[in-house]
Order: sequence, then structure tokens, then C-alpha cells
Amino acid sequence: MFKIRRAVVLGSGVMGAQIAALLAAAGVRVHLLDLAANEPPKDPKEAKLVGKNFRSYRAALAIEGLKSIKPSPLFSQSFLANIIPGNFDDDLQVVRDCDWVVEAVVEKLEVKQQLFKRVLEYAKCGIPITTNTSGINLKDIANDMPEHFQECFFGTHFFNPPRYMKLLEVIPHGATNRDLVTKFCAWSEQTLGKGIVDAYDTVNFVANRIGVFVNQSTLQAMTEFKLNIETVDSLTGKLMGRPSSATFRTMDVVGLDTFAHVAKNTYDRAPNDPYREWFKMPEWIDQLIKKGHLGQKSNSVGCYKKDKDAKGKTVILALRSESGAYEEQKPAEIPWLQEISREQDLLKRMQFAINQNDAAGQFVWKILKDTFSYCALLVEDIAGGMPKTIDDGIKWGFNWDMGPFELWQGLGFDSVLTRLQKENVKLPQWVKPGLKFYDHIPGSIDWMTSGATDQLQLGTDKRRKIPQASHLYRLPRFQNEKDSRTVMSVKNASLVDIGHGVACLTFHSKMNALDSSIVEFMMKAIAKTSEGFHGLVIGNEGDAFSAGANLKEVLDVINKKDWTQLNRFIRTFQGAMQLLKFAPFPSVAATHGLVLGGGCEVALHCSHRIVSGETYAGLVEIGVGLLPAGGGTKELALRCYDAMSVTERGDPMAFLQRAFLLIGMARTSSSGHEAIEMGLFPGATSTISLSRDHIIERAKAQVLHMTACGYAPPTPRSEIKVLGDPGLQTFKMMLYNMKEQKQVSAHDALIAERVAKVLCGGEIDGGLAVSEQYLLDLEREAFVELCQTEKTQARIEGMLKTGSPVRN
Amino acid sequence: MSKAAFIVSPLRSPVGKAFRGSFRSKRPDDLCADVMKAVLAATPNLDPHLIEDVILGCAMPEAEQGMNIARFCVLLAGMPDSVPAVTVNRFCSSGLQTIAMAAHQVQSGAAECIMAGGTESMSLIPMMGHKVVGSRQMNDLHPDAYLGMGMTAENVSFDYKVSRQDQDEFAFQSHQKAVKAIESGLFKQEIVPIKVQLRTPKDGGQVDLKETVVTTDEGPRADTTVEALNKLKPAFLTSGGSVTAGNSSQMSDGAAMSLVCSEDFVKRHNLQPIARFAGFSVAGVPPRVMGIGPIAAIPKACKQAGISQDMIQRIELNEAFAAQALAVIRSLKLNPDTINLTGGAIALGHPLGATGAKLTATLLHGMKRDKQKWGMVSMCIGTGMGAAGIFEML
Repeated sequence: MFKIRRAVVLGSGVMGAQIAALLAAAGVRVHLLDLAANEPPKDPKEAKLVGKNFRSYRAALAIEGLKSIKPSPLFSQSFLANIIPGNFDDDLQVVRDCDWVVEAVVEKLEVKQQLFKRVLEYAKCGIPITTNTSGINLKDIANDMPEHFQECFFGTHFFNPPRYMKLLEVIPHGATNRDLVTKFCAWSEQTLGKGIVDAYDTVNFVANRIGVFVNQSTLQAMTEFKLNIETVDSLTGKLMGRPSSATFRTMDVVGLDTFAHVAKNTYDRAPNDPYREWFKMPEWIDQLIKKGHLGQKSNSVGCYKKDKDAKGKTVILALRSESGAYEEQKPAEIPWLQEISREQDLLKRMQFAINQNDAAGQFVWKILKDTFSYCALLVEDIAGGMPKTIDDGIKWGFNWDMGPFELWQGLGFDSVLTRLQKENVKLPQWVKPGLKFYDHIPGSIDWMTSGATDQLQLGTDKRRKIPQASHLYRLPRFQNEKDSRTVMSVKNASLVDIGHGVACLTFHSKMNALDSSIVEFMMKAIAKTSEGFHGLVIGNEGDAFSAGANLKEVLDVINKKDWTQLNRFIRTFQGAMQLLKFAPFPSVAATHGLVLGGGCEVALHCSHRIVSGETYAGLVEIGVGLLPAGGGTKELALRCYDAMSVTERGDPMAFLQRAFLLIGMARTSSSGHEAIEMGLFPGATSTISLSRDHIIERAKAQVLHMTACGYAPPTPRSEIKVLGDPGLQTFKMMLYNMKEQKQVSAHDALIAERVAKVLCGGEIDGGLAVSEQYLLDLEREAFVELCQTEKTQARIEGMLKTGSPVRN
Repeated sequence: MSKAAFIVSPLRSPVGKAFRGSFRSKRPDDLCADVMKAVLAATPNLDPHLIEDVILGCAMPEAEQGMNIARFCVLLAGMPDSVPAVTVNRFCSSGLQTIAMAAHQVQSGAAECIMAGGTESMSLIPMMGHKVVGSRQMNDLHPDAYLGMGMTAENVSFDYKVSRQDQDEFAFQSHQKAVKAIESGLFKQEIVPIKVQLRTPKDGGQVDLKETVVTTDEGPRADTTVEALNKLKPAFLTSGGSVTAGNSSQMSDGAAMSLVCSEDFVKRHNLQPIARFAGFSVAGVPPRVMGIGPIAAIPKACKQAGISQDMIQRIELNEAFAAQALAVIRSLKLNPDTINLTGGAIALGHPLGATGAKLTATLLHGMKRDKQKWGMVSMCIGTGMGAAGIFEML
């Protein structure tokens, strides 16, 4: 059975170290090796850190450096212990015990070849030996190497930062054993959660070849339409379905030198590239690189510059490409931009933008048309004619919402083609009206229901079936009457039969926020599941598990001053949570992305959680002037008292304080692992899945497993021995200090005191027993009380208006 | 007319840095017992059976410091079963309070020989103890008594207009003086070398036992500068505050003990007293500015000792915070050239309940060296008090 238990990463640079961190989180024991040093590092702090083992200090410091990289490559600091530093001279024999060797050393052919020759002395027969090269061709590395190396050698090109970028380009060369590649790919998908793109062994492979071209074409268009860099960024980000860092902020983050290197590589090594001249960097970027202004890594000076204004406030200035000076940002006024940005549907946004006659609209169209042209011209060479290879590469490697071919077809293949032809854009022979890259049409209801079922191998007339991954469910993202699996549905939620007697409750509101219709639906879904299913998965395949309660709805009730309705609203939500918790079947939340507020409470009331590595969970209600009142505070309190119940004379205060700070500081986890470590998700009933794609599948498996093991629901609690008033007074004492220290506002302190009151079980004598319902009632009372305060109302209104918390 | 009470063999342990220092896992009773043994060794003519009581100060008397730690220390020090012991808590003045209590007994004729001092491990027992429980009544009536010490220093710096710069310069001087004192070996006479065993894991389930002897205070930093201190962020009032980790006392571990004997006893057993206990006073102030406690206590103590403030040639004024120390010095117009000549708690550390006895040892050995007559130990006390003790050299 193919398994990777131990691996060697050669080279401890930015990529090597971060790949090591990713593998470590997947439970792989990683040896991170780099050049041996003959003397300790010069910096005394570094010398102290590496101690006696200075021979491997490069790797040791790289491991230490993982702690300070932002965004963090570490799901949990604890995984650092899974990475063992070493050096090429003393430690290469560790390769003997390893199941994978991945090389990420300097991009020099001879260096890589020599190192691989040394590795071969030790490597077990048949293990994958791969390179993370982004620019050297595999066949060149494999050339002249022994046959048994050639068979197990291929490219594994991770994208930076490897924890966050889903893309893993896998590049076999002529002699690679394809069976080994298939096994490796399956492992990477399941264990690391990567999205695999089968790339051809061509210059810069797939995603970088296209992605950097788009960048270069943006630079061309920018000059043509005389736009400044902040205007370009306002157009090439969210509007076009790309990351909000758009063009130049992305370049700053990645490093201008990296972009220039990839562009130069295309220029030098792809003499027949149809747009070769565009890969020359404009003079102003060359100048920046010469000055060492590479972006984030050079003190945040690059296309933008982080600076302080006269008042000492941080400001981001933008480069003027003509003068080389940094000035205050002045994005051009684009009258239509704000309006269309509110449109959720990317295709509608794009359709609108490319039909504008102003410079901004023309600019967007130009980038798009160049991209379509380039992708069409290259798809046969770099992706064997498969549009999906390029689309996946760009989506996973550059975070676009839709790939170029999906966009083209989604915007209307023929109408786009007509416009391209009218403008004499370079296109390959095979382009003719009526082509369908995919079936179904991207963006159509069928596409959303069952995804792409086949694709046209471009340059041929063969349609290639797209295998449907069994772990992807294509759960509805809207109320989809056409989906035959739907058991019942409302506008914002559906109950779907996902097979083997398991139902899936899936939200499909904006950001999967919870409103009263969802809560009511949830109760019906629980009843339905009781009748006809083994158990329930709660999850979705959107961007977030749930961003929390729909605040607009809460505010409407507040504005009506209808406190009875507010009370009822909370009671219903709490009721739904308790129904879930005590249902006769197991429920498993599949969490990913934002799991905030009410969303987090849903996850907390399930019997188990499958937690994606990228889970950002928190009970963050204090930001909007509230406390978790859907049983979230109660659940954390219960866990504290339960932890104490196994000890004698233990003090629940230590645990309650942690819960108090979690809620009081609105702490959000930076990973699924952290959600457990910080005491939010119960460790014993939460399972991590680094792969986000697999969480529904794994949640379903968990439901079936729990059913098979004879699931019995928990017993409602009536004897929770709480701290009572003495505990509350202790929290008040802490809050008094926090107020004096101006760490919290008076309103923060009020909310926190209410949180403490729930955690302590109210103002009763210490050590008395209360029921879960008693704690829920405390939650509800406090929630309604807080809603009646002006400051809470201001916080809710502010959040709805600006999306960020109001401090008052 | 009360009898005279004499101080004999005042000694102290070196002061370790809490959490990372040499005493981080040394129990406060073990540490104190070592100092007690040293006091007995330094007083060879004394038969320990004659010690009538041991009074031990400790500011957080719980856990390793609980169970009447004083009695444990007596037993650990190998003193006879007949020697009784009591633990006393008045927070930061505990170690001076015990000397005063011993002296008062001697002065009244109730006892002739008492051992007194204090011990504290801030590494093992946190400030406020392991279990803190707020009181409903206190929260309603006097929440300021729960105010963190750092914030009381902020209040003092605000009320008494003590600038950040002044605090940092004061802190810098404290380190300079302490470093110089250590380099010149000025603490040699008062410090008891302490054996420390560190038990760390070794391969194969074995214990790696390392034994070291600690002879020097760990807190002072020769390399600190006013500029470096200026750069520190306020530790308590993060926006707009002036009290930092650098201009506050350090958290420490330490112990100090003395014998307090009557004149007759000293003569009878041929002991070598170093000083006469001349007076002691405590006073209360508002909890929110607890640092000004000495302003109220010092005049009272002087009056009790029957001397004027300007007769005092040497003062050990506990540097809980530079802010409060400066407020005290300025308000009482104390002569800065008499204060903390070998550094203070900002550099040397502040092992809470041991501090009073530790400062007494430092004061008396310093005065002996410099041939001075009148000296004083004073400190502020959490929840709003001050204490001052006055000694006359023999």
C-alpha cells in the first residue's frame, strides 16, 4: 500500500521549509536537509539557537523561521517537532528510511543533478523522487541519470504558500512510472488536500506559464490605457473573480524577482511563444528589482510602499511607474465599478465590465482577450489540449474563481469568438463557432448541479469524460429543484440524501449565514433525518461553513423593539441546537473556512466534527455587542465543568477563564488544529482533515461509523455543579482591572460580565447544581438585555455597514 | 523603658530570577532552611534549643508556601523539635514585619531570642496565589483593592507627575549601582551560597542531576541603557502608560533571616550583634495608589525611633516601581544619595515576603561597611499600606 510516513525535503529555502511544514502537519516525519556548514552562524542569537548541531544550522534556522512567516505555514506549532534538521554531508543516509524525496534547492540544473546522484546511493527502490522546480525541464534533470532514477522521478510543483495554495502540478517525464505517479497523486489529494494538475514537461509548466502571461498582458494593457497601479488593482481583483490582492499586491507578496524570473524563463526558453516579447519586464519593474525593492520581503517596498504619515499612522503608498516615486493612492474614478461589484455572479460582472466603453472596461476586455488567445494557443502544448488542466491550474494556483476556458464559455463562446475575430486576435486553427469546451456550460444550473461531465480535447474533436471524484458531492449552492437528491429545501438551506442512508443539511445563504428560516428548516431536517436516515452531516462545499447569524434579521427585530419576538428567536435557535445535540442519530459537522458565531454553535452541538485544516472558527459575538446565545457559551461551560468532574478538588476556574477569554477576545482559530488547541472544539470528538475536498465524505463516513458502533445520544444534563456567584465575582475582579487598564471598553466589560455569568451558572451560591436549560436561559436573558443597549445596536449597525467591528 | 532588641547574623540568599532563574524549581521552604542553617552556622555560640520562636514572612502562603511554611523550614533546617514557628503575611513588608514582631517580643521581655525573616518563590506561587476568588462585597465597595500593582504604579505616576523618562533613568541607575556592587563584591558578607539541584530528563528514563551553587543575584543587567529602557512598551496601561517591565521590580525567588535577641542574651552567649532595632511602623493609604505607602509610614517610624528623618544615613527603599519610589523620595524630600546605594528591586529583584528581611541584611551590612549609624528599610504594600523599620548600628 502506498503510504508516505517519512520524507526528505532537500533544500530549506522558503519553499522547502514550507513543504516540510505541510508534510509535518499530515503526520509525515520530515527530514529537512540543506548544505552543511563548517562553522556556526555569525549572529550570536542564531548560534545559540542551533547550539552544538551547527553543521545543520541552515535547516534548523529555517524550521525556526516557520514560526514567524505570515500567513503561518504551520497548522499548529506542535508540528515543528515532526521536522528534523540535517545537512547533505552528514545526514543523507536518512534517505534510506524515507518514502519520498522532494528536492527544492536552488534552480540550477547541475546542482540538482549532483544532489540526486548522491541521494540515489541511499534511496529505497521505487519511492518517488521529485523536484519542486518551477522552471527547469524534467527531461533535462533526468538526462544521463540511471534508469531506476528516471522511473521514479517526476516533478511536484507546489505553489507558494504551499499550505494555502491548493495546486500541486505533477509533471512526469518520458520515462516516469505512471503507476507511481497515480498513487502519489491520490495520496497528495487525500492526505495533503492538494488539487492535482497533470502538467506537461514544458517551460514553466501550466499555471505559471498562463498566470505570468496574464500578469504581463496586464502590464501591457496598463500602459496602453494609461492606468496607475492602484486602478489596475481595483479592476483585476474581486471584479474579475480573482484574489483581492489583484495584480500588483500579489506581485509584492510573491516577490517581483520571482515574477521576473518566471517571465524571463519563458522568454529565454520558449523562443516560439506566440507572445514572447511580452515576457520582457518593463523598465520600471527592472529598476525596482535592481534597487532591491521586491515587495513584502524587502520591508514592504515594491509596487506599493508601507509608510507612516505625519501622524505616525501606517499608509500604503503606490508607485508611480513613470517617476519611480511613491505617492498617495489615487485610483481612477470608475463610475460603474462600485455598483457592479455588488453583483454576486462573476459572469454577470464580467459581461457588464467588458461591455463598457471607457478605458476601464476596455482594459478589462483586453486582459481577457489576450488571456483567451494565449490559453487557446498553448493548450495543446502545455496541457495536451485539456481546457480543464489550465482552468484548474489557474483556479488553484492563482485563486481565480473561474478558469479562462470556463469564463470564455460562460460569457458565451460564440459571442466572445466573434469579438476576438473582429479584433484580429491570434487564435489557433481549431477555433470555430459552436465549440463547447465543457458540458455543461459553466455557470449554468446543470453545471452547478453536476459540474463538468466532459471536455473537448482541443485540437481534436474528441470529447473526454471528466471523472467525477467520489468524494465531491456538488451539494446545492441554491435551492435547486433539479437536484434529484434533495429531500426537502427552502431558499437558504437544503436537506440532501448523500447516499448510504446519510442526509446532509447544507446551507446556501450568503456566506451561509443563519437566519430564522434556516433554523426552522433545521428542526424539520432533524425530524426528517430521525425518520429515514442513519444520521446527519452538516456542511457545504461553498467558501465558508457559516459566517454566523444573519445580523440584518436581528437588527430588524431590535428596531421594532419587539423583545418578545427576540426572546422567541433565541429560544427557537437554542431549541434547534438542543434537538440536534440530543437527536437519536449521530450528527457530524464538516467545518471549513469561516465557522463563526451561530455557525460555530451549530458545529459545537453536533456529535462529532470533521475539521478542515483551513477552519477559522470562533465565538465572535462580542464584536457585535452580543454573547453566544445559541448554546455556545453553555457548551463551553459544560466542557469546563466536565473536565473538572474527573478530578478531585479541581478548580474549574482555570478552564472557565480560557472559555471566557475565547469569547471575550472573540478569538478565531487560524487553523482547524488551533480550533481544538484553543479549547473551542472538543478534541476527543473532532477529527482533522487537511483536505477540504474530503470533509463531506469523511463526515459521512463518521456518521456511518458511529451508527455501526451503536450510537446513543447524550443524556440531557441537570446536575451541573457550577461556580456560581463566587466565580462571577472573580471575573468581575478581572474585568475591573481590564477596564482600568483600558484593555476593554465599559461595554466590552458589560458583555464579558454577562458571558461570565453564563459560564459560572448565574448569581447563585457556589457548588450548586443547575441544568443545561438554566444556562441557556441565562444566555437568552443576557442576549436580549444586550440587544436593548444602544452600544450593541451601534455595533450591529456598524458591522452591517462596514463589515468590521465597531469599537465602543 | 523597654529592653533593647539586637539583630544578629542577618543573612540572605542570592535573589534568583523567577521562572528562568536558578531557583525556579527550588522550594521556598528548602531555600529558607538553607539560609536558617547559615544563620546558625554564623552564630556558633548559639544553642538552637534557645530559640524561642521563628517568625517567617511570606506573601502568598499557599501550596509550596502553605501549611505554615515557617514550621517546615525549622524542621528542614535541622533545628530541634522544641523550636516553634509562625508564618506572617503583610505582603511585601512581611520580612520586615517579622523582624519587628520578634523585636517587639524581645523589647517587652516576652522572649529573648527569636529568628525572623521571610521567604518567597514567585516561580512556584503566582502573584495572588493559585486560586483567586473575588468577593461580591469587595467588588461593590472597594474594587480598587483588587487593582493590579502595575496599575497602582500608573496611578501614582499620574497623581505625582513622575515622567517615563525619570522612571527609566531611575531604573537604569538601579542596575548600574547593583552591577557595581556585585563587581566590587559588596554583597559577599550578606549572601549565603545556595546549592541547587536541577533534575532534568536524560535518555532511558534517567534523571540528569546537576548540582550548582548560586552565589550571586541574577537580576542586574550591565548592558541595559536608558535608551533601551525607553523602548519598552508599557506593561499595564498599554496606551498612554509609563510603567514598563524595565522600570518595575523583577519577579524573584529568595529568602533572608536574622536573629533578634535581647541585650542580656547577647552578652550571656557571647553573640556579635550588628545593630539595634529602633522602631517600626505601618500605615494605610488608598489602595489605588498603594505605592505611596512609605510616605505615611516613614514619618511615623522616625517618630517612634525618636530621630529626625535627616539623621538617616542609609535607606533601603524597596523599588516596587520606579514611579512609586520617586514619588516617595520627592514627597518626603529624602536624600537620594542615601537611598539604595547598591541598587534596588528593579535591578536586584523583589521576592515579596522575603524582601523586608533581605533589605535589612543589605542595609545592616552596608552600614557596617560604611560605618554609618542610622538606617531605614521601607516599602509599599499591596492593597494600600506602607512600612518602615529603623535600625541603629552598634
